[in-house]
Amino acid sequence: MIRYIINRLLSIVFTFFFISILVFILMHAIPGGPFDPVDMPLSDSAKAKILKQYGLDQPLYVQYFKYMWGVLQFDFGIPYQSPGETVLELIGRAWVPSLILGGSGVLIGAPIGIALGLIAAIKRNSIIDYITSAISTLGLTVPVFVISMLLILLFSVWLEWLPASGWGEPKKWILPITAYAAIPMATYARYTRSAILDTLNKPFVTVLRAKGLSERKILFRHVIKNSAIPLVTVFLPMFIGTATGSIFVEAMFRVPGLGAYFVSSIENKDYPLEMSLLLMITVMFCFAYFIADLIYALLNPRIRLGDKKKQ
Amino acid sequence: MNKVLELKNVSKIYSETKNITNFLSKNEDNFVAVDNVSFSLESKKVLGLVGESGSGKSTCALMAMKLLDITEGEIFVNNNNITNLNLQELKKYRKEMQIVFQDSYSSLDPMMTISKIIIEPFIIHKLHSTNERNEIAIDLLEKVGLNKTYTNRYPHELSGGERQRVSIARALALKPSILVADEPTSALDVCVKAQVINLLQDLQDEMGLSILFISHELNVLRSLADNITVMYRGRVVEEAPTEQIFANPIHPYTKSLLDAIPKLDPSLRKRRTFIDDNYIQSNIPIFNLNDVKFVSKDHSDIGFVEVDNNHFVEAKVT
Amino acid sequence: MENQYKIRSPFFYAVMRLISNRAALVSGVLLFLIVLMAIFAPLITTTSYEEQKFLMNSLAFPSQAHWFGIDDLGRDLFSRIIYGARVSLTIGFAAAVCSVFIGLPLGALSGFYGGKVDWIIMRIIEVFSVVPPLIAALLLAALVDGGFFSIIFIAGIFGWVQVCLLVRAQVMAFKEKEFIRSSLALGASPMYVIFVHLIPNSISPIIVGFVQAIPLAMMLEAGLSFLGVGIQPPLPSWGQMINLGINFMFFYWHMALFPTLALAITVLVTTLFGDGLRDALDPTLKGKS
Repeated sequence: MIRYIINRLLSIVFTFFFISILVFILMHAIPGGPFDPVDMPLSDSAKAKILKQYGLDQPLYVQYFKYMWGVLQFDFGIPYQSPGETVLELIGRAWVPSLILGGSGVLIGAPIGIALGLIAAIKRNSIIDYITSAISTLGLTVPVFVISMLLILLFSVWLEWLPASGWGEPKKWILPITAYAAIPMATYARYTRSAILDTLNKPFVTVLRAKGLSERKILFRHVIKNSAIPLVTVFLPMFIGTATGSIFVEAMFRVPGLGAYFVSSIENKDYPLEMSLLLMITVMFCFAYFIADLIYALLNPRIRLGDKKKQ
Repeated sequence: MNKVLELKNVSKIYSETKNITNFLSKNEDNFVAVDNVSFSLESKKVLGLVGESGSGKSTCALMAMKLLDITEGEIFVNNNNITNLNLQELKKYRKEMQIVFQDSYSSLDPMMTISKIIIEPFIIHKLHSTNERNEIAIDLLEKVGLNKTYTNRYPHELSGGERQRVSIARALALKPSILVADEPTSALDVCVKAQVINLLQDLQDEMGLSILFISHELNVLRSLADNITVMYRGRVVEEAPTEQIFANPIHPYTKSLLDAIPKLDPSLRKRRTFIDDNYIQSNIPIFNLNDVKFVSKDHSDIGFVEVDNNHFVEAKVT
Repeated sequence: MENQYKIRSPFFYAVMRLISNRAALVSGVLLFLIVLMAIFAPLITTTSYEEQKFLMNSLAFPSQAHWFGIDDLGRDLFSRIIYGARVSLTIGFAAAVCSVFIGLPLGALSGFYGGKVDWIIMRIIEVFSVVPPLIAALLLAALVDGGFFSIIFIAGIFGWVQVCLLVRAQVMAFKEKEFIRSSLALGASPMYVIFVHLIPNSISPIIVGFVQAIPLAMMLEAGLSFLGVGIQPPLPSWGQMINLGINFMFFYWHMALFPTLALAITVLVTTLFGDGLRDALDPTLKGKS
């Protein structure tokens, strides 16, 4: 177990540095620099001065090591777009709306999805089952901005019930949260349904039935417990996944969150911000998968981590 | 006697040193699947290799065919050492020896028709023209008791016995002199089992095959094998001509195998006693140094001794 | 006597299973229709996608003459959507081909050889699994400057992982099988085994991986075009049209609705068809139902 954890942590460190190098190279390979505005070009001397100020005149590898040295001390630099604050402050500020919307989306969507999946599994081949599978396929396949667009057209444009965009009053949160909730709901509905059906077909359930246990008790005492494991493990990665989802949802609903910075940092060659965002997302995903695997191992007595035949 | 296939002091050890932490701590989990095994197959004879599942007999078969890496030891085919040959050099020995496996379903590529499966050896060795290949395929099918209506069928449309016949036909396509049969009958029902064994016997007479026949049941080998080698936990524990094994088993494990054969006479039936590892470990035969001599020995006092003409057993000598 | 026995290849059973799956069948037919419309776009549309023929009626609502209305620049929206299908499907298809070209050999090698080869390929895949494809695609799109072929390339780079994993799993499951060992015992080289046995036996995961890569590539293209770094105007792309539609949706809903529906339906039917295909091929071609 400890050996497995050490292995995984080493692998995360490896991935982290590999991606940091890759992103750094890609970032600088994109033609143009952060201080080449198209409309009013800077004079050569002014540009040289500003490049020097940000250390952009140094060789790339020096820039890389300097930046990574800072990162290791939690100094992510200063964004060129808004030099008045540090990258950490900017992310901390912009993340609040994204976290509120995305977080509540997951927290609302997941239980609804689980409930739908559960009902669909119990009443297999009923109308509820078909509706659930239709909803979950829709949520899983159609891009989130399409869902957002359909929500806006339906509830803001035609029914005029809810505002389509903005941030501030809770009424404006409803639609973006619904859009965010679509993916977790669809994922959970599908996972739950197949996990429960899987368990219901196991021999031990037949044994329980033979023992004369009521269907209700079988379901709540045995089946759900045995089906819960895959459900727990997808939660964290999905939570982090809302960060990418924010790019579209926030663009659709004009929410001033983190999403827009992903695009603008690349467009404006805002190197420190770009690098920080990508590294943070990567590390969070790494740890989300890692923790998910650990939880899986803890919940499942049959899995011994470190076994070769894991995959 | 002319030895066509010989395993000399062969061992297979599975070790896990793959991941980083293991590598750093030098801590290896070794599993010894086959431990210093030697036996040989004589020309035009049938050698029965018997043992419980997990005793390393199939591992021996795979190593003899060079389908598995050999940790230690050497393998000889017609007195040529093939242990360290590369794939290219090995190719000409491949024609000499072939193998038939237990699972007839997974022995045949599910995407290929029967005729394609049977002519595969010719494709690999670039032998014969397309027409000749098809003719030979039909010949082979008839030889194993099938006919040409089978050529365009797929493996899943055949029964287990029929599939095993196809496997045998493919194995014999290159006219090998050695056939390794790795429990070819274990998955078949009794009647089909007898048919397949008869087929192998007929083919042996007809083609002058030397067969290494692996099984976990001694009674299957009684009519078929000339010699029997008994394996237990990765080691050879007894080796003798077939009659000797049945008449005078010495090692406790061999005795327990004989005991497991169902008796025909009801009056001889008794409650089966299952012998466990502890019993076997503590009942290793003991001989006096004056009566027998070591053929080989690896621990201080345990080794392989010849107790009778061509009858060898692992024993303790005091 | 001879021809009495009907020869049924494993594929026959797969096709039967696919036909009996209603959702897959319906989406297959719809997908086929969309593909036909895309191929014969010039025959079913009256104007090309960039002809500003109806400037006088800009932003007109749907009518008999213009089924989906007219856009802000006086172009027939129906034409633009049909030509958009061409772009979307071509990119989906081409990217799926790329995915198979990268994923198939890597998956086969990593599954067959295991050990170091597998370790390296798995680490690469790990990198791909922790970087959100969209963000990486944004970065790449900025690097190679949008455009048709760049998008195919980018989608291929992210699509191969799934194909590779599917093929790897299949190869790993099959390489221990006796028919592979028999072939090696006959003297076959590893390359022979991979090409003659392992890849044909991986045909179902390859098909599944291929079909599932199509909607992912279409979604990536739409997403990038939506954010303005994908397909560049005047080439029509549904993602691009949806983004434009946001500005008009309150007054000219058709600008937003039709491209959204087109994308939603196409992605949905492609995915459903892919899922149906997977279910049909999944019983590992044993010819049993």
